[in-house]
Amino acid sequence: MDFEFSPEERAWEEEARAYIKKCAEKPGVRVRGAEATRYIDTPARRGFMKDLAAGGYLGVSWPKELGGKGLSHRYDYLLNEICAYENAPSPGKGVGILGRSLAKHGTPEQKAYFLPKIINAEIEWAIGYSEPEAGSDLASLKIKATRDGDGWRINGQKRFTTSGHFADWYYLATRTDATGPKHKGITLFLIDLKNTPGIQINPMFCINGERTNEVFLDNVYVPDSQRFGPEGEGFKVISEALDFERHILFPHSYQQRIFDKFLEWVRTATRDGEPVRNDPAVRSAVAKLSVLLEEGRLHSYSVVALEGYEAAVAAAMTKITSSELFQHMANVITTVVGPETMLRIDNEGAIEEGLFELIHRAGVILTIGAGGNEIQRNIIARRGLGLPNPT
Amino acid sequence: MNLDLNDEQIMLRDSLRKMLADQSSIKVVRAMENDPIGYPTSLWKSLAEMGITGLTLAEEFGGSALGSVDLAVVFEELGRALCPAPILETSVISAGLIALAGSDAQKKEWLPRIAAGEAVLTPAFLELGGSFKGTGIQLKAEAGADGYRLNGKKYFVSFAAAADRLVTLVRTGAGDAGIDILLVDPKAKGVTLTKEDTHALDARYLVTFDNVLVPLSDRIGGAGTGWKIWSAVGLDMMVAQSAWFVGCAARDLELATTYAKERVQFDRPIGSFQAIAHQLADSATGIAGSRYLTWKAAWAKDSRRADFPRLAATAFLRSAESGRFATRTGQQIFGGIGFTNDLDVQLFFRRNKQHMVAWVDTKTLEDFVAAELIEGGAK
Repeated sequence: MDFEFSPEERAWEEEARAYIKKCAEKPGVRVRGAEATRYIDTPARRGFMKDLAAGGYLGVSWPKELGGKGLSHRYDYLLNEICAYENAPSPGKGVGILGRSLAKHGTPEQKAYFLPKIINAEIEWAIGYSEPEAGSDLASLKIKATRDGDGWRINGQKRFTTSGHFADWYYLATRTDATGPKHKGITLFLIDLKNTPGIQINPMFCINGERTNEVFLDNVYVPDSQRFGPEGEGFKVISEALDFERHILFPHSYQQRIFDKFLEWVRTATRDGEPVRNDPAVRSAVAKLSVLLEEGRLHSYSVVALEGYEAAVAAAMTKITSSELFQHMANVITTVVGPETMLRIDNEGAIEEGLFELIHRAGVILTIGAGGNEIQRNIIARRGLGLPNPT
Repeated sequence: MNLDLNDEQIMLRDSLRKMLADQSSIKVVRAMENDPIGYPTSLWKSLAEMGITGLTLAEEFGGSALGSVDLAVVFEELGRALCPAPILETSVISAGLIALAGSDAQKKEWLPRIAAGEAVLTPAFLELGGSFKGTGIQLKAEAGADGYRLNGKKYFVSFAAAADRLVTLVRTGAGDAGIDILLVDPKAKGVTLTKEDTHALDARYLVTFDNVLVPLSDRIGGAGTGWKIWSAVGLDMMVAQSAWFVGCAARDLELATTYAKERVQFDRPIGSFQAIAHQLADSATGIAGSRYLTWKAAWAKDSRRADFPRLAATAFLRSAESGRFATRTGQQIFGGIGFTNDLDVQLFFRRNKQHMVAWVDTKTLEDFVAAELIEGGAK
């Protein structure tokens, strides 16, 4: 039993952290104080991705033949944690969600075109899963793709396509067969967002200040060479992609960073001239949060340490623990800290650039996105405990 | 990074689970409720034969010299089986105190007998109206030429009727430096035992000390060091107890999950209702996290890491609560029939709670963790 990363891993982490800190200090890169968004949405942040690529920090766990470093997935985990803690942009959907899937299911042409672009940070992706009528029940998605000569015609609507307004390519799940079971009949496509007619992208602004999008596809033509994976097997490909990357889906460092800032506040702040650290209620809050934080850390370690079936359950537990801790922490911190947590960034009196104000808004999506926590509980109940399917 | 037990630990776990399934079955657990001794002699003998009584004691005293992770493995099994035996009292706390601070004579007299399962020692710690901190110790001990004279009472002393010695915390002066720990013979003149009826119906006693004479040579450690050594051994107690919470909760979850698969209402197994399934999923999540916290604390002790004290307290705090959640959930899943004495889940529910307030409590540990974080500079 060993709860520590190896000396080699720690040494690599230290080097990576120093490099990432340096790159993140360039103007416009670091997520400023309270901003929630860590998307690669500006030239400066694209520059950061280029820096990551140049430093050899993209696709560290990809096999060497794909241009990666061939290191274990623990390095991916560490890298992701560093970026989250340092408030640097997130390493991106290409290397994070799509890469290995592409390597496994892509055609030789797709692999040759996309993989080098991903690992060199030359491409940004948007993911088209959710629809107005398909949220937690993703397999019920309706957007229709029908055969048209050598290609396909796509008609319908997507929702929550974050990054859609600046991404280069769209990873899109469509329905190609509505006659069989809903898990069958889903087919994936890769669509050039910048050069394909018939795509309209409308903004939806969220309570955390981020933009996501509604996407309307009107008779969009896609050649069959841009179909991704076998026809009708899209749901399987999506599920597999999750298996590859579940250890980086939910960084523990988000919560760690907030806790560290809160602890710093407790150590130094005063109320009515009295140090707040002398208040027993404040001390109790610190202790209680620290316990849950440590538990969250170890759940996330367990996803790194386990494999396969067990990892799926551990990942569901990690997602629940981390997201609910985030929201709980936001509630406790705003309650303990008090009136200043009303202030958004750039107002006199705002604490930590409005961080404690922001987290109460930003946390809301965490128990919903990436598989709602009710779905995660179903996974634990069925796969972990062997309970029957709900009827 | 490796969160697995090694082969020896898995063997230890499996063989202990097998022995306890036989020697500490639910039938045995039930038979020991209200029993004045509180444990079956045959079970104690089996634990000694497996090396559990001397698990972490040095080999020179007949122990197995195993580490804190091994201790956690053992206590998870003891919790699963609700094992009615004074392993925590005798082998972890009392032996821990003697091994840490006892004289050579005390070590020679007690440790080999503890390891061999031939002696039972139990702490006499808590008092009515007192806290879990040093200020809670008020039993008065006046030092004279022939020894200490003890006057006062101790409550909640487990397995006292079977004990060869009561490891008694006494007050000799002001503050934490005014606390000593004495080995008191329960058969000594002036010691009276009165059985208490408790939440868990285990063998606990009110012990009255009426001018009891204890020789100076029966003090563990130097004068005024009692609270310091008690606090040090308390960390091992937290790891063991934390593992016990995990085992107790895990077994309760198994019972409730099995029931949820079998019990049919509205023409389907109740486990197919998300209202039921999600409660069980939350129990499973809390138990998994608590097990990792327990193992990490144990690993930190074995690796001599500076954050061991905070991690031990952290593990106890979380495991106690997740155990409480799981055992309460078990009661809810079993519904009306679980409220009867006939069903087994109530045994787990009552014991989880009792262990949450028997050796240390949430407030004391939160104070400790907060101090480590706020003033100690730890993260």
